Amino acid sequence: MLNSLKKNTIILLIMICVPNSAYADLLEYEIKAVFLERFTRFVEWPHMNQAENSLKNFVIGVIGENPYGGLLEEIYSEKKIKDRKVEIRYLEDVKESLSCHLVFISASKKHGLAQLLSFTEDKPILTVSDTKGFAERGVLINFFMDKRRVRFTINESAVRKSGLIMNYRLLEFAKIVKPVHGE
Amino acid sequence: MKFRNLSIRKKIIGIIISSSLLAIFFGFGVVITNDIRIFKEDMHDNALINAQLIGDYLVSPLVFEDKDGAEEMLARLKGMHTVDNGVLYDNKGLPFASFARNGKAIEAPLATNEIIGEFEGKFLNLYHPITFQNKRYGILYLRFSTALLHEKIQAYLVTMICLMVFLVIMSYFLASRFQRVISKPILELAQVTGRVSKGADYSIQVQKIGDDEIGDLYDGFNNMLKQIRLREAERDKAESELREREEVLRGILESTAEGILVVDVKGAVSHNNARFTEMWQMPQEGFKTDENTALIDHFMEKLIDPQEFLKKIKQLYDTTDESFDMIRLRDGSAFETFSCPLIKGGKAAGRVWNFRDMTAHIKSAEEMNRLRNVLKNMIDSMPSVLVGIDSEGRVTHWNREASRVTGLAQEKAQGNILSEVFPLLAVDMQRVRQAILSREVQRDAKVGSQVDGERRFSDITVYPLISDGVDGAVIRIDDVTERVRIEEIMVQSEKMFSVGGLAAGMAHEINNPLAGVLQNTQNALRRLSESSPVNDRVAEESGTTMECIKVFMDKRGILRMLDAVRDSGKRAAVIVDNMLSFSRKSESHFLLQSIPDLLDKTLDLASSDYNLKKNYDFRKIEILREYQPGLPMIYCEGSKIQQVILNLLKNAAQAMSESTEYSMKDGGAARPLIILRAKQEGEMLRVEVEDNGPGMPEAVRKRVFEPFFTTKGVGFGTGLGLSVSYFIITENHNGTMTLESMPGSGTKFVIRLPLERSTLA
Amino acid sequence: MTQQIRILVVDDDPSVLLGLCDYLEDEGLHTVSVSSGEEALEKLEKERFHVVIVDIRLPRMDGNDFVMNASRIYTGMAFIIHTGSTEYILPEQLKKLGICKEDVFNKPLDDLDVIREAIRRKTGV
Repeated sequence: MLNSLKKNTIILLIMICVPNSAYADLLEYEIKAVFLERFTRFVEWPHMNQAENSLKNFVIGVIGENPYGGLLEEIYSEKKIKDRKVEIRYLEDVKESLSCHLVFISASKKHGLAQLLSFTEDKPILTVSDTKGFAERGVLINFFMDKRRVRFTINESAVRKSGLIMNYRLLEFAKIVKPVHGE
Repeated sequence: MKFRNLSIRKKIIGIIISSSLLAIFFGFGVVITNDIRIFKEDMHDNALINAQLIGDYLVSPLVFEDKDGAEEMLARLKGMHTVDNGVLYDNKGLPFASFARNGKAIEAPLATNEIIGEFEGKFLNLYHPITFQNKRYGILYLRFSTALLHEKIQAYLVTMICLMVFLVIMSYFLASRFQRVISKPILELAQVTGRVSKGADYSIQVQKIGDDEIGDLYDGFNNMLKQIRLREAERDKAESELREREEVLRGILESTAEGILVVDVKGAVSHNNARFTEMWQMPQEGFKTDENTALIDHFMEKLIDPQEFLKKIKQLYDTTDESFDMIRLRDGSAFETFSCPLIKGGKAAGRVWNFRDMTAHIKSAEEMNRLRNVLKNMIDSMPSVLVGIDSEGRVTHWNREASRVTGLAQEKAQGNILSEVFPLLAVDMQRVRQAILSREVQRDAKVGSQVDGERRFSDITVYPLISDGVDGAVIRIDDVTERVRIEEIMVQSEKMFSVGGLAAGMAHEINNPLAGVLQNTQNALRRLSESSPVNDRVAEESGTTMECIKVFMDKRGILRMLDAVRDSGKRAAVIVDNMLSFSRKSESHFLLQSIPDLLDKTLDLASSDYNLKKNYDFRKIEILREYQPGLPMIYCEGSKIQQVILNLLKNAAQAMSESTEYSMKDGGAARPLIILRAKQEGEMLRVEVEDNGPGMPEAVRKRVFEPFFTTKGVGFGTGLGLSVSYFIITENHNGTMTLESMPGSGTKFVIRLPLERSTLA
Repeated sequence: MTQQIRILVVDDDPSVLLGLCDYLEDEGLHTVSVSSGEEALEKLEKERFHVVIVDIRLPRMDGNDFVMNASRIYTGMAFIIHTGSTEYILPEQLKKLGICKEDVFNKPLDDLDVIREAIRRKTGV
């Protein structure tokens, strides 16, 4: 824990002192890992209280090749999300995503994405990816790098479809694809 | 110009306008301030909303620590024109992102934790914490430019002011229109009042318009005018009376001979009459400088003793005393000055001065005094007693002679009853009364009186005072003793000289027969008694002898008879000789003699005189000599003077011894006394021989010097002694001889002899 | 006996004349009496007298005039004045004739011896 704290501090220091590019270069996934938790702040999971019993922990699932390495575990071993302990799961099957609140879809799932998404799209699972074009295809949040800055795109329609309640502040901040119109 | 001096119209307009203005200002003030507050609140609210809005957008950048994102978000502020600057702070208070409209970033103000919206100068500073789901992520500072707000307010104010101006103009317009409702009747009333006061025409009545208060005022005014008319009539009457009285008073003030000056408490002139101006020769144009000191200076210039006057004034002005003085001016005038405080309403309001020009009065008083003195000197220098009395017999005038005679000073005599202070006149009061009643001069000549044992005579004349209606009289008393004496002497000497002349003439004629008698008697005696050759021869031839004849003659007493004839002849010769001395004038034996010595010698002679001794004892008579020491010697015939004195002494001694009445008086114990006096009296030497004998009655006294007048028994005197003495003194020595005598009070012979020989005839 | 002294007595009073002459006769003197000055002058022209006793008050010619006239006739004549007037004053002319106060006698004389004395003085007899 001390270690992770130290690490966080270092990150922050770097973030401040080091130019974005450098920090982006070095810590792209670290930032992305931290961002996962930050997303959760803007998202309400329906029936989360009901599911409390079934899902005591906040479960982060990773599908596909894990780009984070051990970063997630490192970051979330102590950190809580929504007052719950964070549990990192590496999903083999898409169906496992049901027990997850958040599912990171790695670039390796580029091809089985549609299938995967068809499963999760109407479920309150926050899907996050960092592959170009995934958002347009139906991933709720997709990281992209903008001049060495970690940014993300949100598929508003997908969010609506998922039943998750996403705070507009996050939407405002993100690049929106497939926005919901006529509301 | 003061408000209260403005016309009613202006006042009403002014009041309405100022009221409206007040109301408008107040109302607008409230509205404007409220509106401005609302404007500000609106802006504040808007700013807050904007901040909230932006804050919302900033949550994410903060959450994701995305400064660029934050900057982008803040860049949206560009669309919010009021935002001038914006700074986003993270939770550590460090600036996270900022926005500056004009490119220049402001110094980051200190971040706070609360929502604060403050207007500061041209800006509204707003701090807005960025929170999300109860979590604070930072704070947003926004600076809004208030320029717009101010512009808005300005525009608003302009509008409002225009509105206000409009309202004011409206209110003025309305006020000036509507004020007439009130001011018109008042102005009308004022106009009428003006007319009334200008024309003093109180018969005007105003037409009432309504029944409001002004209507009441009109009624009251009309009533008042009516009252004024009534009062004015009364007042006019009173005023004309007052004016008349004032004119009378002014007339009195001006017509008085006194100069009247009224000064106020400071001593400045408040009133004066023309007489005052004239008396003090006040400048016609008045004083140029301060009245008070100028007046006093003017006084000072004129006064003889200005310091005294000044002192007096200073004393007086501190008091309410009255003063009464006489002041004298350099030009010789004298003013009687009376001053009293002027009291107005119980308080000293100044002083009233009265100046009475006493110059003429004093001059006339001085003249009168001088005249009185002259008159007094005149009456005092009169040798007569002059006494003035009023009708009641009280003394009004009393001259020096009167004082001398009575021994009473004028002051003591004045006012007293005449008979009390002048006993001599007591008997004459009847005459005085008669003179006053009859208004005719009353005379009473030669009134006798006894003064210091001396018989005095007075002529009393009473002159009634009839000139000025004042009853009274002047009594003149002349001491005519001397005159009476001189008259008596004149009568006496005239008588004596006629008698003397007669006697002398007679004596001459008698001498021859007497010579015949005496010679022949002598011859007869010689031839009858002496033996001589012739006698013897003739006797022989006759047949007898001288012896026989002598015997016969003796026996028959013929020789004795012849002796008696011869004695009688001799006595007659003496008488004739004395008589002849009446007219004898001779200076042959005049020598310088001392009268006291002569008197003493005569006294010696008298005491040794045979005849004197025979009839009375001169030693029983007390002799007093009162000689004035240092008497001058005089030219006289000593033997003659001795003869006179001896004669007088004899007479006195005889008178005292003869009078049984006298010796009986005082029980016989009275000591016979003869006083011899010698003293100087003017140019004369006065010798007195006084006895305390029985004196003599008037009838005797008057005839005592007459020749052959005698009271002595036959054989005691020839009756020529005093006559001879009289002639010796008056004829030979050019002196006078008088006597004073009253029965019972002795006799005093007075001889006056001239001191100077040259006075001898 | 020596030569008899002759006395002329002039007086208008007979008794005085008588008295004087009687007295002087008794004294052994010869007297002639006249009653006026004129008579006396006549006498003096006829006879010689040693002494003239003269009265002053005389009819017509008075004693003084008589003395003056008589002295013109006889020088060295002695005069005795025997007057009744006590006021008689000896005139200067008479004094020049050698008549003095002692020669004047006033009537009446108590004693005629004084006359005798005067005659004795004048005549030595």
